[in-house]
Order: sequence, then structure tokens, then C-alpha cells
Amino acid sequence: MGMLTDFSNGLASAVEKAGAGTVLVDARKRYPASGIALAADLVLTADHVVTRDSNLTVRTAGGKAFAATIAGRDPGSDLAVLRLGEKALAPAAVAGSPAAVGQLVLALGRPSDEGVQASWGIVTALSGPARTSRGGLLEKYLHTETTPYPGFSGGPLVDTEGAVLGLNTSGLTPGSALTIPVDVAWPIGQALARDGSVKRGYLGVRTQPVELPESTGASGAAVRDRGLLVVWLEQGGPAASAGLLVGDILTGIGGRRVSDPDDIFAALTSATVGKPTEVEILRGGKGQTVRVVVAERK
Amino acid sequence: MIRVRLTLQYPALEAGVRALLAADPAITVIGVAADMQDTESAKAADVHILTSAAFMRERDPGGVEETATGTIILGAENLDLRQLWARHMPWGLLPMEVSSQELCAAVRAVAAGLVVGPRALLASGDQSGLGRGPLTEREVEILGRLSTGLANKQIAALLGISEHTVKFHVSSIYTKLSVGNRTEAVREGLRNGWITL
Repeated sequence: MGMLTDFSNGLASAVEKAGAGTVLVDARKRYPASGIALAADLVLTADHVVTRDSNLTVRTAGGKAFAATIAGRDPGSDLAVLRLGEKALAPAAVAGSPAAVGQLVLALGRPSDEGVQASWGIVTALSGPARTSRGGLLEKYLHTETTPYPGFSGGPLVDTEGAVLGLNTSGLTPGSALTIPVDVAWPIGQALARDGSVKRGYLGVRTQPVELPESTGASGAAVRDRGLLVVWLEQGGPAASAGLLVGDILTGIGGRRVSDPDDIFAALTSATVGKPTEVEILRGGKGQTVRVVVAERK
Repeated sequence: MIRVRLTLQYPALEAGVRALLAADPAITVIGVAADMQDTESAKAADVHILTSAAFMRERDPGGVEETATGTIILGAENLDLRQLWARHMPWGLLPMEVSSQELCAAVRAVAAGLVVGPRALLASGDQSGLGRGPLTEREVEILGRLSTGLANKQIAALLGISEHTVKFHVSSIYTKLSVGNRTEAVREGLRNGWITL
């Protein structure tokens, strides 16, 4: 057989393999959308395709229908997890390494009982963090050349081996689709399955970005950094209780640099909730570290 | 002697305030007027006492020029305090159910150049509106919810208000911040430090 035939067969087998873990999610009016088998009884899908609270159905590659309930949803990242009454799914295989720009990928969907559907292209960009059209913060996302056909939201982006690289959705950017990579989507999916929601950290501060005086960077060149000036503290809030003062400049949280308020959002992951977290500040021009017990954002 | 001028719409209210002020011999009512127009008594007064309706009317464009005379406003629970801070004058805010003792104390305080008001009124909101720009406390709360990506319906459920009310607040936020969508509103809110993190 020729190389082209091998290549074509490779793509077809990738679709066949990944198609087994791609399910139909019937949770809205009009046409159904897609989902990914996260575990034997869990389906990860896009939050925006789940518009009903009850009477949800998941249908598998074999055409078998299962009643499902909402285990949890996170509108900020447009992810939702559905739970089936029985352990009937074969969890989708996840790729061992993250997607790379230029990589050949396939977008799969199962919006009808006629079978799995596919489109292909390359990964064109890795981006983030960015605010989505819903207002929430998405830490990382992929742009691809694949075509987001109707009902593809919630379905997987897979590599040429059929291993999942991310979840496709058109719910975060009007008129186009993007892919939430596995390293962002899976932890959120697991938190949704476990807790029903994604916890987010809270410091109880309001800040404004400010430019810091020039300092000398590691390379010896002058660098101008930005920090976040604390302009308001919640009385008795986590930051105030730890001794932070209005006028302090935040420069880092939990070892991550913060120069934009979105960096605080990104740094206050669910893992920080309830734990003492090192917050680096500038007070009177001098660097200090304060341990703040991060609360949960309500 | 503290000279007080009254701008209260109703004779009964005026009589009542006079009676309350009579408890303090150092306070004299030197005039009453339908509005705060620049009359003899307006110039001579140390303290103006007026209703919130009269105060709002007086603020209209083309009204009296700004005066540094101390002003006590009655029944002003819904007044935006920033308007008062912006006037650079001593002021007082009192509820309609004020007692004689409280009113006389307030007149003396305002005449001495101080700002007075019941704790609940002054502590609601954060004094000068610092930390929330042109937005109301409710709008700031809703902007905070937008920043986590919630839809109107979900915000409504969380705050126990109707989706229609949320839409109303969101469009008011857009207007005040001169933005066209949620992303820009959140970005603007974060940049100005109005969203609590």
C-alpha cells in the first residue's frame, strides 16, 4: 500500500479508537451535542450544551441510551460533568504530552445516532490566559484549523493515535470554536465530579496594576515590572487577617508572579483554598513574604 | 447663637422641626423658604435644614450656586453620599424619625464644620464610594459574578433576584463603564480595582 493510503488509514483508525469514548449528549432543545467519557459513569461536556436540568440522555457508540444527571458545572470554563446511573463507558485515552503548534489533529463529535463525525487540521496556536465572552478566565486554550460542525461542542480534539488533547467548544467565543486542553479541562472535570463545582480562592483584596521602579534583572539589564497595588481590603478577610495593608504592592502568589489582576485569578486555583499561601509584597519599597490562608470565593 | 434656615415643603413638618429645635436655646430659626434661593436669610444662616427632595431640586442645573453653608438633609436614606462629599461643605444626614436631642446635636456639629449622620447611613457603602468607582454596591457584586463567567440566570439564582433585574444591572454597568460586553466590563472592573479577588 502507498504512503498516502497508510496515512489515510491511520486517521480512520484514530477516529474509530477515539470515537468509542465520544458520546452523544442530549441535554438541550434543537440538536444534541457531544461529550467525552471521563470515567465509566462520567461524561465531560460543554456547559453551554446543557440547558435542561432533568431528562438528560447520553448515547454511546453502540447506540445504547443512558439516563444522566448533572454532577457539576462550571460556566466560567464552559465545562459540565454528567453522571450515568451505571458504569457503562470506556473512558477516553488521554494523550501523554500536550498539544504542539503544527501538530495534526482531529475534532470529533457525535451529535446524531448516525455515527461519529470528524474534521481535521493542525493546531494553529496555544493561547491564554484570556477572558472569554462569558467574562470568566480561561487559563489556556488551543486554536485549531478543524471545522466546528454543529453539535461538536463537548467532543474531543484527538491526535493521530486517537488520544485526547482537549475538549472542543464554541461556547466561549462567539462565532468560533476553541479547545480547552486536557491539563485544564480534566482537573476541572474531576473537581466537578467530586464536589459539583470548582472552588476558587479568595483573598478579599481589590487591586490596581502599577508600574514598579526600575530594577536590575538577572541579566544585568534594567527591567520595569508591574505589581498590583492593594486599594481595598475586606475587613476580616483572608488578606486583612494576614496583616496585609492598603498600599502594599502584590508581586507574587504561591510562587507565581502577579502583574495583572487576572494573574491573581489564575494563581488562586482550587488547590490553594483553605491552605496557607505565600504572598509576596512590596511594602515601603522592600520585599516581604506574608502567609495568607486563602478562603473560598463564594 | 446658631442661625438656622428651614426649607421644608410642608407647614406641619416645618412646625415639627421648629419644635424639636426649641429644646436648644443656642439655636434660632431665622427664616423659612420654599427653596434655597439666595435671600437675606440664606446668606445669614449658619445651617440649612432641608428635605432630600428640596436638596435634589436645588442641585438641578441653573439652581443656586454652591454654598459652603452647612446643610442638614432630612429623610435622605437613598441619597448618594458622593454628591455630598463633592460639595466641600459640612453636612448632616438624618432620618425623619430624628429626636430633638439628635437634631440639636447635629445642628451644633454641622455649625462647627463637622459631618454627621447615623452610623447605619454613613457605614452603608464605603463612604466616598472609594473602591467601586461609579458603580453601586449591587453592581459591584454583579460585576464580581461576571468575572467568574456566570450567566445572568445563574447570577439571579445566587442573589435571589429575577433574571430581568440582573439584566438591568448588567446594562447599567455597561453604560457606566462605556463598554459593550462582559469581557470588557470585567477587564475594566479589574483594571480599576472594583472586583474583589
